[in-house]
Amino acid sequence: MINKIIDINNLSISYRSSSSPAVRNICLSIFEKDIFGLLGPNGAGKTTTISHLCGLIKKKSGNVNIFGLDSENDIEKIKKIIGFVPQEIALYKELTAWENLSFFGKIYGLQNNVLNERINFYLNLFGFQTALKKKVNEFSGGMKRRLNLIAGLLHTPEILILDEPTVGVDVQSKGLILNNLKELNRNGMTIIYTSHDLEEAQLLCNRIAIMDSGKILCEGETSELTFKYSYNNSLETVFLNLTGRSVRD
Amino acid sequence: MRKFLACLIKEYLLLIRDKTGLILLFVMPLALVLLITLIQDNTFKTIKESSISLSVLNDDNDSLGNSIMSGLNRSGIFNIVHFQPNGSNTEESLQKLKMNVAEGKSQIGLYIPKYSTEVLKRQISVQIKNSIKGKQSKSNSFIQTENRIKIALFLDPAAKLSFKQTVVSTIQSYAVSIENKLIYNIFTDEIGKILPFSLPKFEESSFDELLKIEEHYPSLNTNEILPNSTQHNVPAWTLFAIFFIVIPLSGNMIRERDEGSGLRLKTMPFPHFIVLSGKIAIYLSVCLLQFSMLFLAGKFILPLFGLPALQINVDFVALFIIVVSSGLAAAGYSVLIGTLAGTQEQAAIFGSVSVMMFAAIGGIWVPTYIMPPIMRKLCIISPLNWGLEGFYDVFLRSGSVKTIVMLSVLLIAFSILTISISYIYNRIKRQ
Repeated sequence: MINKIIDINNLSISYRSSSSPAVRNICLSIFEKDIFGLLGPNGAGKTTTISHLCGLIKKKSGNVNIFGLDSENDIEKIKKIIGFVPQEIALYKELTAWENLSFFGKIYGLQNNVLNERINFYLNLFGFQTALKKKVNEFSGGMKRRLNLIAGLLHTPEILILDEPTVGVDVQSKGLILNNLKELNRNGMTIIYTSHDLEEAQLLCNRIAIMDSGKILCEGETSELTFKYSYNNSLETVFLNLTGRSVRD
Repeated sequence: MRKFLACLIKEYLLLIRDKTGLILLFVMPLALVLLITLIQDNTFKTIKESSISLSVLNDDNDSLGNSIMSGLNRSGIFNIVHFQPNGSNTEESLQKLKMNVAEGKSQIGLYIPKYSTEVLKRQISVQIKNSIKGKQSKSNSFIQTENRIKIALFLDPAAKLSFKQTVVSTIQSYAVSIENKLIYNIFTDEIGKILPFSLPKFEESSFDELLKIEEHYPSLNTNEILPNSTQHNVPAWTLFAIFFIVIPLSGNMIRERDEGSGLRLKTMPFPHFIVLSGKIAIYLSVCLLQFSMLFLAGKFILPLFGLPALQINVDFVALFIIVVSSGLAAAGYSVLIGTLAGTQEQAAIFGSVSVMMFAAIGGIWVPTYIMPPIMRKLCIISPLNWGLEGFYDVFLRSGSVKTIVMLSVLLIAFSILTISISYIYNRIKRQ
């Protein structure tokens, strides 16, 4: 039996700066070992939803349980089992790859020997054999993205949350990132992923939810949804059918 | 502790790789202290050491004129340019003197009119004779107002008011001296005519040493520290430099926030005050380093430029406490700016301008005792004033820990207040 590890019930989130809620009474279930795609146009509420799961934003109403822990009362425990890879390159640009990873690893409480082992492992996995001592601001876009991802993996989280992890990277880097994400998932890691790249999402995710204007429009197995909402088995067709063609920004 | 150390290492690496920040933190303050101390050195020297250019046309050439001239010469304050009375062409010489001042070649011009001594003597003589004969004087003065000798003073509009006051008081002092001498001599002459024996004449040196002024600079213990530009400027501008950590520290905070690393830290399981503590600890070390550097510069580098060396016979514990308290206040203020400012540009501009305002109000640029009354009251709101008073207590008044404890408490309270406001602001913003 597959366990439900994230249970979102009637979650609403509002920003002080906006009169209308960014997320409106959404319900979602994410299961163990899912690669769950949270998709939607700009302003749909994807980043707001995952920001709440990571403890960055407080909810207005609703219940969110992660491994049975309350998303607000038990946030410090939740932070230990979640790895977050933000859309921004969340690294110190004046530090080297090694210095960045060493710092974040120590903040996760990893001991030196374990930390060094993991840094070496992930740097090899993501193709960083030669750039350990280069400062991040000397890296290419793809290298920065990969390092950004490694920083969220150091403490081997049970849930990895990625906010558009392949934006602005070349095909090779994208391939490396996606392959490694699949590998991590095969090894037991649950992945929650947002992206505008629907082809990539269709290839990667076993389950998806499409959001628009703070609401969930559909949720389910990727194959089921493409079958149900599309004539050509394309996630992009599903997306356009549900969200429309008008520009949102 | 491990997490705190990780934060310290990270902040240290970020700091040493920020070359512009390092220049701002260490090179600029050194240049500032050197420059300001050199500029202000003259204002702290005894007035005898500075030289005011004074053009003089002594058309009197008698006791009064000569006495004033010798007095001005002896004072050593002035670099005197003599204009010779050119017989009947005195007016021409006077015009030249005025032009000399107008062109800024001399800060001050002095004209002692012809027959000044004669007029003075005649006036005093008339008054004394009248007094002896029992006639009532029209005024309390020996000289009638309408017959007063008019010594003219010409001032360069760019000259400081204090120069004028110095010249006027010097002239007055010698004029009074010669007036007294004349009164005494004429009086003894007149009395001598009545008495069967003659009275002794006035001796110049008789009263010279009667009044001697000795300067002392009392301190809170037995050390007497002579005030000078180094002793004033090194602490003042060091404090200014300490508060200038507002630019790199607030910039560091905003960069962390904008570049996403701060966002990642917020998703990590650890108390976030550790990150802030790491920043404050590193920048507090910067403050201590800045102070040590400027302290050593005051002791060893400033004398190379002909400036007085910093006197360091001070209470080091008190000094350490006031430096750390000032550093904490500066760090707290930087955290507040880093929290409230939206961009690095905003933080840099607002931070530097506000520190300059605090410095101006606090007496870094102009001593508070010469400020208008309203500003003297306002200066107590500036943390730089608290720090400066603490530094002056230690450096100039030989103060101890007991002397500076209240000022330290104020500075630390300011630090706690600013950090608390930042914390509350962040909490409100997160909701």
